[in-house]
Amino acid sequence: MGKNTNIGQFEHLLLTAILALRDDAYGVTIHAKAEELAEPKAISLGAVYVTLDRLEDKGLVSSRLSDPTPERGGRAKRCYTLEALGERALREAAITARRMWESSVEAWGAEWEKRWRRQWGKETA
Amino acid sequence: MSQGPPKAVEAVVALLIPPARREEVLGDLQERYRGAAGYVVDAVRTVPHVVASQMRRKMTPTMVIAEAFALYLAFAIASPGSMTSFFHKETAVPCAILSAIALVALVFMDAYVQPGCRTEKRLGLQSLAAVAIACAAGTVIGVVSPARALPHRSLLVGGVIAALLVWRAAAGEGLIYRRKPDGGTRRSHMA
Repeated sequence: MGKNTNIGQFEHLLLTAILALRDDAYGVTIHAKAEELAEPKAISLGAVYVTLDRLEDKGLVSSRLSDPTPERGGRAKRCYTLEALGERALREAAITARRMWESSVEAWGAEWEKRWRRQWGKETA
Repeated sequence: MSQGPPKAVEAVVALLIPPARREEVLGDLQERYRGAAGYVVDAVRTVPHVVASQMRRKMTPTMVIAEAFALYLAFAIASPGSMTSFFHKETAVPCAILSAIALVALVFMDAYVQPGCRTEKRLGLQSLAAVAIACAAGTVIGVVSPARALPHRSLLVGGVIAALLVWRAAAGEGLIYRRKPDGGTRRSHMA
């Protein structure tokens, strides 16, 4: 049996943030990106740390300490990288999300889909 | 000049963060610094999560079961009429309460062990401190609710046996189980 790649919504959010941030994924930036993605929901930094630890224990991400920087009072950052298993989990979650979206569209109708697409268009503009 | 949190506040926050996470969490809090009050609020909201996560990471089911068993056994042996009433309510409830308190204290202290500093002496002190906390709580319970407490003599004898059992178990002598070095976290340091 393969490794477990089941992830929750918050884990999905953080994995997406790490993917988007590439080499600059550490506590503060991951938190900021996750808040941006989850808007208007607020996210606590503590919850981000807890979930990053869990993702690391599951083998979905790995971490390393970077060199200390002066703007952080001479302290290092813990940078996170997406592992192959994490990428797989992210892909599977994206496929599931798409299926859920399609199922919702089917149930709520094309009018509803058009309205949401217009709303998204405004948000991304 | 870059602004940072007041040194005294930062020192207190640093003390509360488990050593394994101190570097990056303090750095992140400093990077988010917008004022002393904001820093304190940020730290109060963040540190409990970090401690809880570190406790979870250091804890293994085998370790918890072994320590809980050792603690219960020690207090049960020392309680009056232990051989005849090992699982009786009068013995079981106080022993379970004491074991639970000591266990939580052990797991909590384990979260604060510096990576690579798990010496036998430190484990001994940790076991002793956890059992001492449980015995102190047992004394308080004795005052508040005598029916749920063990006699002082049993507390003392049970405490000594518990500290020794947990210490030997935690030191990985093979008496009960072998503990993972440094709680088995999978972190690395970039050169």
